[in-house]
Amino acid sequence: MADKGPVSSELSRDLSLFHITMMGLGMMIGAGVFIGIGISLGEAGPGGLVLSFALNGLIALFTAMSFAELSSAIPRAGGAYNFARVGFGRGTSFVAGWMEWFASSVAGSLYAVVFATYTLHFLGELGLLGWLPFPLVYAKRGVAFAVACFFVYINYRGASETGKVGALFTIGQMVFVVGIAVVGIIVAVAEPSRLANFQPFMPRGWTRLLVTMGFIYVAFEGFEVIAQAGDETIDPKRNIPKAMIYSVFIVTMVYVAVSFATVVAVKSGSDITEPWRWIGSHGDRGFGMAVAKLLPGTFLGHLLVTLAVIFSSTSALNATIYSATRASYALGRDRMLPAAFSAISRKTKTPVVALAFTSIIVVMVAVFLPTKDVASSASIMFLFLFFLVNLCAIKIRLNMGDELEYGFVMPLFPLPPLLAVAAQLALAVWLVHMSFIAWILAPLWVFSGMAIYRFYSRSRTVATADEIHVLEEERAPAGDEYRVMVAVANPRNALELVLNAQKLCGAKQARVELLHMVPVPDQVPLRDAERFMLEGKEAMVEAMLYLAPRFPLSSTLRYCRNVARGIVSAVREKRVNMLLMGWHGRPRARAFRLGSTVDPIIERSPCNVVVLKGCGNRKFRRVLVPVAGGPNGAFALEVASILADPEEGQVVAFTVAGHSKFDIGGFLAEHVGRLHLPPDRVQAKVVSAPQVAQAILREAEDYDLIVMGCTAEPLLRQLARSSVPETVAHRCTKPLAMVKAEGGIRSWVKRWV
Amino acid sequence: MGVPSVDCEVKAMDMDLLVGCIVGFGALSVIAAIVVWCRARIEWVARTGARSAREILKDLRRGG
Repeated sequence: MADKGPVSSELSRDLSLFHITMMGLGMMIGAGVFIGIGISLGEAGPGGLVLSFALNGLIALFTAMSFAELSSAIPRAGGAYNFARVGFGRGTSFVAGWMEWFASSVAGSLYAVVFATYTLHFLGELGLLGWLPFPLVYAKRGVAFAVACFFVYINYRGASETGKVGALFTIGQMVFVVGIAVVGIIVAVAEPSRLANFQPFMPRGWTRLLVTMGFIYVAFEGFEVIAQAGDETIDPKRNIPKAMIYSVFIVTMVYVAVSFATVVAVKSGSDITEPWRWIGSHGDRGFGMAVAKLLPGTFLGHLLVTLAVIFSSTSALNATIYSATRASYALGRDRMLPAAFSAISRKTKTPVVALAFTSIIVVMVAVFLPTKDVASSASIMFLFLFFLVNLCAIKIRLNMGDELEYGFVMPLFPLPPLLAVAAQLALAVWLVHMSFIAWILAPLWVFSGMAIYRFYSRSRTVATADEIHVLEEERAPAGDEYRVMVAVANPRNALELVLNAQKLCGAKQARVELLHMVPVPDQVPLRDAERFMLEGKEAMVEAMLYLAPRFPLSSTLRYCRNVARGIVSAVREKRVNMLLMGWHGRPRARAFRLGSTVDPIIERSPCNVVVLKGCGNRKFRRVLVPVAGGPNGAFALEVASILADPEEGQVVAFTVAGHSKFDIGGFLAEHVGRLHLPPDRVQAKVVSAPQVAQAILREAEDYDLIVMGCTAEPLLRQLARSSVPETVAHRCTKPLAMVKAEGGIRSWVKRWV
Repeated sequence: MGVPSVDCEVKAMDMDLLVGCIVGFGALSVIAAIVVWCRARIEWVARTGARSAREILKDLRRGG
């Protein structure tokens, strides 16, 4: 991001290898695999099913290598659309974006249909659908319509809701799918006779393999969204290629295991002589019927399968809608589609027009097309799209291999992309045997895109100077000076924060890093987020007016998806020693101690943290520091001595006797030497009381400021009951500073979660 | 005359299974090998610094 004026802006890189690998897995392990297994088993038999996944995994890996190489050289968000622009120019990039939009939308339709199919089947098994006055197929369309509309609304609401729902469902689907695979393998080991289900291995001949491979290729779409996270990933040249390759590898293994589990799930007997034929006869519900037999109890089996499908289809539906919206938004931004496509809602900050058109495609395809044709259409669009990306990888390496900086070059070039191109072409052609409608719909969409570009977009496209923009990691230079980062949230409380920051920075002779995080909805690429930064810029300038004359200062606006993650990554990148931020002090959701933003920052920041509540521009003559021997006590005492009025301020270290073996006298003697007040103005006070928090709150009435350390209790104890600092923080009506010393929080489990 | 035709059918079925296993496990092995190879390359480039594709390939040929 270019620096403009006194405040520089940059992108928040807070996604690690783990995050983006999970992102790819969450997108891939969608409903495609569930709906594809039953149909493919009927088409190609047991051997054909398992081989379809293994061979598709190989083709997907070749394509992932192309994506990985291109993403390492062009790590800007945008994926296929951006690669095509660099490799072939605007016309091809329009077609790539146009295909990406449709492919993601149709995949969303597929997930809505799968959700409806499995949910209604489960309700039917329970006998809850007998009252329906119309055929089940209409109910299926109605449920698909409703769930699609629900997730369109979720996407309309914006980033936080999208992120929360997506993360929850991704975890759920991973647990279920891996669980099914593991149970299947255990059953096969315990009862080897079930391996006979693999005979006949390929009952309808090897040519059917090509048909099923093309049909279930949609189950491998999703890893390409990792390329869209290029602007947000830590060390993108290294992590994005790795995440793509890892996610395809993991998903291939999981799919092969799940398809194996499906084949061995049904025991052949008098009622079912050929399990593969029986599963295949259930079509898109075949997987559910088979897995229900794998799990103990028919009801429990159906319930677990339904839950697995609900988790996976909804998470994939959610992700595909925002991915499709983003694709059409990018086309609007570059004026390849009307500018309205890049219009952002003032209220929710999401691209509403792009979302509206996306939702029309999702709903129309889900409601009007048969399931098999929806899946085939999605597959064929992704085959076309990946075909194009493989060509991009070859062209860009040959033409621009000397100019771009690569973080990864694929081995055996150009064999993998050539093999992938040939295989994708063959699979796309063979899909005509599965769905004729798909073969009309997909080329129709591509040709209509070409026509739109020829007659509309070509003359209107915005010329961008930086069509190849390689982002560089920005590292703060190493130095000995103490760095204080002040995270400014909004203009209203900026002044209050800055006035107290002056005291802390002055005492530490610090360099000041002013930071404002600008949360941007998932549907908007971070690079297009400048429209969200006006309010933050105002707050930054106000803060700078006070701090710039007194301290060496730099200021940054960072665009992020999640404020907490963004601040923590900024702290790491800029090697900050102390983070200062404000807290509104309002009641929080039950799962959090101080709030969903403050909690993770306190726990994960690798530096001292000071959180101020209601401190304003006041003189603190009497400062209370409740201590009990925790790791943050000494730092709390030091902060209190800095914030206390230098002329007449007094600090009282306070403890409640009888609740620990803490020796407050020894504690003061140890630390008083490095405080910023004369020793005679630092006192100790001990009281006896049954309730520690109540005693602190009573004592606080006589003070101007309370400074206390955050809890260092382990996660489980925190969940079981509120900690004393948390109780005091919420009930205290006086100005409050919560502090955490570097390394003061031990909650490793919560940190990882 | 009927016995040999039965043998042929059994062999054909086994052959499908045999070829299928070779293709399936072969594909999975190739995938695993490529993943390891790619990972090593990514780490090597990260260690030695990102640069043009030609320079990376030249260094690799020199024994990097």
